[in-house]
Amino acid sequence: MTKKSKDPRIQLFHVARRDVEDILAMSDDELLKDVEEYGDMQNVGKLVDDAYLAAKLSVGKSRLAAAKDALEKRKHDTEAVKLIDVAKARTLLQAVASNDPQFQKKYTLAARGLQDLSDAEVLSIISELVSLGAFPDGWNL
Amino acid sequence: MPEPQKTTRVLAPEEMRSALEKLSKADKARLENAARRFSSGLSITPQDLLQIVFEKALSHERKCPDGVPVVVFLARAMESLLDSYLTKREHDAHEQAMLSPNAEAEAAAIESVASLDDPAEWLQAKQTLAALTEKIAENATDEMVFQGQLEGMSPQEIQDVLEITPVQYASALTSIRRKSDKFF
Repeated sequence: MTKKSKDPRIQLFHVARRDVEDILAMSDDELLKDVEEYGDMQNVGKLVDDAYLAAKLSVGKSRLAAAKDALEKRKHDTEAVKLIDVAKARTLLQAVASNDPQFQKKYTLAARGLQDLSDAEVLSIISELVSLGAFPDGWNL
Repeated sequence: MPEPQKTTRVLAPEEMRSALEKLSKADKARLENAARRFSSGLSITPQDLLQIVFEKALSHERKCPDGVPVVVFLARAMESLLDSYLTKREHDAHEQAMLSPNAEAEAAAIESVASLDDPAEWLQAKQTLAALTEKIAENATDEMVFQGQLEGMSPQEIQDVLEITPVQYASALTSIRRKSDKFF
């Protein structure tokens, strides 16, 4: 931002930039001497510590919320799969596989044949498709 | 043949966290000073500004290249966030389209706690600037360097225009910084 501005906030920002450059280039001794002379040595670091603590709490909360959401999603997907009838799942898988050769390659159905898959494998593939959102909400599995 | 892209290693989240836990007293003083100066004239507090950059660093939203001192990385992050926020208001729609893709998100981080549309904020910044200008005008060189800073001139431009040496410029900068300490 090198454009001349009439906004006092932007003008103050330009000054702050130069001052901060200066502060970053100072040695620790010089800086602390300055604080002793012009600042408040007793409270140095308090603002940073308070801000850091608040940031840690905030980031922690966000992570917790994201983990809860992921857990909920997994639970939802697992429950959806549990409700599937295996015979119905085989029919569904056969329908999907016959319409999509890429799907057959991915799941090696061509080599083994759908009938060779165990119930667990069928449910596992369906589970993966559910978690990928392949079936719209409300799809009757 | 396209040149291979240079990849710079960045600090992993746990390395960043460890570095933040180990900030020295001098580095904390630097960060406080930077946050006070950068937030001057805006309705964001220095603590809020610091919290935003700490959050971005901890969540790895902003990554610190290996070898860059963490205090420099954090100061630059504050500067960049406010630059995006202030630039957004300065540019028209066409110019905004040419800003970095992150500019919008960066500006939003500050907009969540401050508003440039606040007339009281504008007035306060104007008063701070007037008082600061008066204090700095006690010395002619300081005043001219300060005017150059207000206009966003680079250090080299200021030295060229005023025909002063780098040493004289550095001395004026220190003098301005000390005089401005009490305003931030």
